[in-house]
Amino acid sequence: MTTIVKRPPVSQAARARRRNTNLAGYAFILPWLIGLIVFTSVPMFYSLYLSFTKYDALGAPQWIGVNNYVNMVQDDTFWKALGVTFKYVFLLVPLRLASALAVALVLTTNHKGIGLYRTVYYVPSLLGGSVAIAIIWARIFGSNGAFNGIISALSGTVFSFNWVGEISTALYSLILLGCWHFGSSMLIFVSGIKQIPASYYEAALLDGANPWQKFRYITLPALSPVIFFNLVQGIINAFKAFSEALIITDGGPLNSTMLFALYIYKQGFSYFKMGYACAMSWVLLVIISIFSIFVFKSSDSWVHYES
Amino acid sequence: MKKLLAVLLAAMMLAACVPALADEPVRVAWWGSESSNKVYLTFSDMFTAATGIEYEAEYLSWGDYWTKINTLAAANDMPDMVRMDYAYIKNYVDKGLLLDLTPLVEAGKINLSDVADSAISGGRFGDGLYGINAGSNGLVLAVNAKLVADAGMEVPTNEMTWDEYVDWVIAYHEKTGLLGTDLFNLKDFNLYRVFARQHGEELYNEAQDAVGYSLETLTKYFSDLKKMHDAGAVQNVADVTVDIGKENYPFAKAEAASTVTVTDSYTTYAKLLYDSCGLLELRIIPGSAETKAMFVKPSQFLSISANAEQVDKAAAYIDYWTNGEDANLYINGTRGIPISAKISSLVASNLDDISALAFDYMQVMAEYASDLYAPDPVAHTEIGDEFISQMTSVLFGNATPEEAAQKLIDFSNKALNN
Repeated sequence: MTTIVKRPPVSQAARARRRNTNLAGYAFILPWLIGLIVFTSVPMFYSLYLSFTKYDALGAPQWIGVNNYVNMVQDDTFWKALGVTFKYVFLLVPLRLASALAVALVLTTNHKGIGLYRTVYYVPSLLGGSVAIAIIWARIFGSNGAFNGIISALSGTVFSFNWVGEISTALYSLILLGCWHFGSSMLIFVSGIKQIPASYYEAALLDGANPWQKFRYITLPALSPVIFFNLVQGIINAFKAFSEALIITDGGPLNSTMLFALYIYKQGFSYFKMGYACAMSWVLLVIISIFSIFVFKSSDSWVHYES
Repeated sequence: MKKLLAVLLAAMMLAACVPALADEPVRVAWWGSESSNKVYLTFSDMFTAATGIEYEAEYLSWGDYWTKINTLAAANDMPDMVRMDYAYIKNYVDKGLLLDLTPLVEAGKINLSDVADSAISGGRFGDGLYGINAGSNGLVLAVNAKLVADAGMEVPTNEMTWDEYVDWVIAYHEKTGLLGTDLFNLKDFNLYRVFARQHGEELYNEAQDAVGYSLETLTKYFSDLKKMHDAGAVQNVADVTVDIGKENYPFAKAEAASTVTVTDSYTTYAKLLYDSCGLLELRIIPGSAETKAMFVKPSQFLSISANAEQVDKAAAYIDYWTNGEDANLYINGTRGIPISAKISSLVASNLDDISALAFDYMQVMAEYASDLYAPDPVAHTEIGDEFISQMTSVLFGNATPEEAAQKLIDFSNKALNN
C-alpha cells in the first residue's frame, strides 16, 4: 500500500534544518574524512609531485622533470624487477586461489572440530613475512634442510640443493611461501560456499550428478563473484608483495627475487632516492590498474550474479 | 557547526602546543643487534640511576635505523641524542641536522678534559664538533685457535700475506673438511677496502667522482674469493643468500677456522665459542702489515640533533657515556676503547679475558694502520649492494672475475656522478 503525499513547499526554516542535518552527517564522518585527506590523498599526490624531483628525504626536493622516468628505462634492475614480479604474480595468484578454494571446500564439509581447522589454516597468514618464517624457510629449503631430507629418503641418494639460495629456484620458494598464506582468501571462500542454497545440490543429486559435476556446474558458477573478488585482491596484493622478499632473500641471489615493491623500497629507503622510488610507485599503480581493469572487463563473461 | 569545528580545531592546536615539560625524558636512539641493545638499555638505566634523568629509547637494526632517522629528520622530529656512523655523519652535518657541541663542551656539560684531541677529531667538521666518538674499532681476523691446532696447523701471524692466507684457508679445508673462513663475513665490502689499501688504493678517488682502485686489484680480489669458494673452503654461495644471523654462522658454530669481523662483533663470537674452544686469536687482515693498510675507525658518534628539545639532558647522556666509571666498567670496552684516558686505563685494569684480547688487539692494530679513509659518498650503499651482486655472480660462475670487476667499476662511476 502506498500513499502519495504531495510535498509541501519548502520553507526557509526547513531548508536550513536540512542543511544542518547534512552538516551533522559530515561532522560524523569527519574523522574518516580527515584521515583520507591527510593520510592518503595528500601523501599520494605529493608522491606524484616528488616523482618529478630529485629528493633524498633530508634536503629540499629539486625539480628534474621526467628524468626519473627516463632513467627507469635505462635501469637494468628495474626491468629485472618487473620481470620477476610478473612471474611471481602469474604463478602465485592462480596457485593461491586454487589452494584457498581446495582447502575451503574441505573445510565446508561437516566434520567434528572443523572450526578448529579453519582457525589453524588461517595461522600462516597471521605469521606473514616474519623473521622467524625466514629462518624456518632457510632451514626447510636450505642445503641440509628438511625438504632435501625428504627427497634423499625417497630417492635413496644424498641430495643437497639450496632451493631458497640458488638463482634458478629462489623465486619459486617465495611463491610457495605465498601459497601458504592462503588464509584470508580461504575464509572468504568458506563463507561464499556456505551461502550456496542446499536445494541446488539436492536437485543435482536427484538428477544423478556426480561430485565433479556438482562442483563444476553449481559450486563454481555460484561462487564466481567470490572468485572474482579474491582474484582482484590477489592480483593487487601479489604486485605489492614485499616483506617475504625483504626478510628472506633480500632480493638475492643476483636480483632473482627482486620484487618490484622491494626495489622501490631499496631505492627509497636504502639509497635515499625518494623521487625515483615515487616514480616507480606510480608505474606500479598504472600496471596494477591495467590488470584490474582487464579483470573487471572480463568478468562479464564468467561472473554470474544471482539476480 | 562552525563553532563546533572551531572548538575542535582549537583543542587540536592546544594539544600540539603544550610546552615541553621540564621532567620530560630525553629521547635517545641507536642501532644494534639484540646483544648490543641489551648493553645500551642497561647503560641507559644506569644513566637514569646516576643522574635522575629519565630516557626514552628508540632502537632498530642497522638498516631500519637509518630509514627511521632519515624520515624523522625530514619531519624535524629527530630524537635528542642520536648515534651516528662515520658513513653518514658528514651528510647530516652538511644538511644542518646536527648541533655543534662546542658550547656544551666549553660549558663543561660534556667533560672532555681527559680526552686527547686526536680521539675526537673524527667528529670535527669545519669549526664545529658534531659528534663525540663513542669508542674506536677496526677490522680483525678472528681465528679459532683450537680448531687450527686440532688440524696440526699454525695460526696465521700478523705478517702473513694475503696470498698465503688464501692458501692457508684452502689447506685447512683440505685437511679437515671444515671451512677455512666464513663467506657470510668474507663478502663484507670493507674487507675489499682493506685489500685495495694493501695495493695503495682506496674505494673512491679524492673527488669521489670515480672509483679509487684499478681493474686489476678488483679482478685479483674476485679471483681469490672464487679460488677459495671453488675449493670448498668457504660455504657454497647459495648458502649465504639468506642471512641467518651471526649466532648461526659457521664460525660461531666452530665449523670454520677463521673469520673476518669487526672488533665490536668479535665479542659475540668469542662468548659463543669460549666454552667449547677457549679464547680466539686476533690478527690483522692478512697482507696489511707492510702497507699499513689497516685503519682505526670511530665505532660510532654520539650526536645531538639540531631540533633537540632536551639539549642539556642529551649532553648529560653523552657525558655519562664518556666519563661514567660504573657504566664503562659495565660496558667493559665492548663498544671500542673508551676515548677518555682515565676511563680507558680504569677499564683496562678490570677486563675479562675476552675483552682484554680486543683491547690488546686495538693497540697492535694501530701499528699497522694508516690514515682513516674520507667519509664515503652518498652512493656508497648502492655501490655496496652492487659489489655483493657482482661478487655473487662470480661465485655462481655467471661471470668471470674480470667481467664482474669491470661491471662494478662502470656501475660505481655512473652512480658517483648521478
